[in-house]
Amino acid sequence: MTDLQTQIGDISIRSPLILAAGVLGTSFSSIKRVYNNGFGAMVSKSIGIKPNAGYVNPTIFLLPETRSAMNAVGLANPGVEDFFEKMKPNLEEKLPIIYSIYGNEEEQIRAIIEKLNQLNPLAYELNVSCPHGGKFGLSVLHDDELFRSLVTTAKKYATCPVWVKLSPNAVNITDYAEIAISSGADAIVAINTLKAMVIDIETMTPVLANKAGGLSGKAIKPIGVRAVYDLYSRFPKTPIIGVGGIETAEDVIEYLLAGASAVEIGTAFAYTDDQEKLGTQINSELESYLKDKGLKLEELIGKAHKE
Amino acid sequence: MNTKGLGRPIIREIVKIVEETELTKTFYFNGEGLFAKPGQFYMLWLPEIDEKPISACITNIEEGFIGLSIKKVGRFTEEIQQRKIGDKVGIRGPFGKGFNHEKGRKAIFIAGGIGIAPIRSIFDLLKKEQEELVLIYGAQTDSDLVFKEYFTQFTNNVTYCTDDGSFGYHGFPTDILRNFLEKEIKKGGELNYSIYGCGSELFLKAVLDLIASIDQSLLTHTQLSLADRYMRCGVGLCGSCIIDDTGLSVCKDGPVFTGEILAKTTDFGIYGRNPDGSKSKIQPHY
Ligand SMILES: Cc1cc2nc3c(=O)[nH]c(=O)nc-3n(C[C@H](O)[C@H](O)[C@H](O)COP(=O)(O)O)c2cc1C
Ligand code: FES
Repeated sequence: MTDLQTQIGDISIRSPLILAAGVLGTSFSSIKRVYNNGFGAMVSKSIGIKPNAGYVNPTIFLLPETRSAMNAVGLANPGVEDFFEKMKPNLEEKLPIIYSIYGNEEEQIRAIIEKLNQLNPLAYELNVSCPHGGKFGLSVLHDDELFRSLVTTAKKYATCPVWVKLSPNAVNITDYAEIAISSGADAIVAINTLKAMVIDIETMTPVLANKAGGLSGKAIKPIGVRAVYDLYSRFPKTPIIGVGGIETAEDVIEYLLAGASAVEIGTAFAYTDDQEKLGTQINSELESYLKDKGLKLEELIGKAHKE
Repeated sequence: MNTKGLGRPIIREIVKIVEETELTKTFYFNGEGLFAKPGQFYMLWLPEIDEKPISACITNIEEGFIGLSIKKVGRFTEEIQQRKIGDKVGIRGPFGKGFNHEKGRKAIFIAGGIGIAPIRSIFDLLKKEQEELVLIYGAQTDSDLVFKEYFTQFTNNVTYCTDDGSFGYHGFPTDILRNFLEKEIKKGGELNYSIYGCGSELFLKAVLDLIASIDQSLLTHTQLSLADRYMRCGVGLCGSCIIDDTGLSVCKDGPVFTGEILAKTTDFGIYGRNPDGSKSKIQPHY
């Protein structure tokens, strides 16, 4: 075990770096490649009960001026049956995989979880915060009753911890966390992408086919850090996984100081020439930071909160 | 890393259209900020219609333009073919790793159908630097063969093939490649060739299988472009174009891969990926 091991409730992972949902997470081979580059765990693409082709293109493009990305993929995924078959190799390989799942009925969540339980997940990440997921996206989060029932259902059937992924599109993200935690969530993941739009001024058209989408990458980092900070202030006992704009060890440290026990990384994969080294590079920089400061990783968690 | 060209679509007017054949047209644009290395590709956006990967084909830096050769194969390509001079499209890119010019080796180009587009880009680079260029180019029928006069200007070692025998050799480009390599082997000595290929994946699989059966050591010197796959982001983010079992993305790690890598994949020439991420058997087409 390395010095970078971190604890998220009952789960322990070898590095605080986790692959974010929706990035390189539809096939077992790409998930495995990310593990081989030093990540502590990987979140799959968000999986629903039925196959979903998502929106037509353009669905994703980068905004290099802010090292960010826009996407409105629309929860494209092969559906739980197909995905289950594709992930079966993990019964042998036993990689630490968190399955991101979505649905807007208890019955869907039950069926997805009962299927995926067979893969011995490390955890589930319930995605109720996709800003372009239509009736499966943010509208779930904004229906307190439904939101509560989905978390309760997930907890009831899951054979592993259930994390809930929240949106920065909220007046107060901690109010949503309150619902999740009181319904049994084991950890909170924050943040999903921020609802946004880019308009092309030549053709006078929004670039994404869905018009609006989600902003990710460097531009949203301070928003993510604040969300984690607020969550940690109100729920110091609930593990938090910080997401949004992380590219370097400095970014990871900021999130840990705000109160995250681990972090997820997505858009940074588009901004590195060598994807194979992203994880190992950040890991080694984290190690030297800890050595310099003479601190253990767990001592960083929430350290920015002064009495 | 250099993020130039990785951003949102750049809007360009079509400045020239050349009707190459009944089904294929080449669209020319001001190339500023868009010049590609041979084998790279763009995401071409038709606002309110769709966005698709299109291989870089003609790159003329001196005169400042690029040309994209597009064959009518479906809704999107039909739509672009209706566009006129002055119409605007969006272009993202260039993306991916292109062909690696292996200096000191003789070049064989092998193309099937509209796979000739990226082959022209590497042909154009090598024609300035190398004497001996072998081109083997096949299509279903004569009227599908593009740039015929063009290639003939630069090399006299071109073999055209058609499935229906309407022009050139009646049969497959792989037959010609086999004969060529076997003849070279008979002459003795090392097969000092680089092979650059593009076409439908079933075609490329046949090329790769043939090369593997003749000389395994040629696999590292074989480079095939898989730009024909479904893509969304173009930048190695979404996972829409992952080829199993390698976990490599076609858009960022490719679209050009060596034969050595492709021989290790379980998907190449067999399974393609759908927009929902599931996989289906690749259907034959040129
Ligand atoms: C192309 C793309 C697809 C995404 N798909 C999902 C998804 O399916 N489920 C989800 O919960 N989040 C999804 N996200 C959001 C990311 O998991 C993450 O929360 C967000 O991008 C912020 O992190 P980053 O700045 O490191 O990318 C997606 C993000 C991108 C860029
Ligand atoms: S198209 Fe998104 S990873 Fe290749």
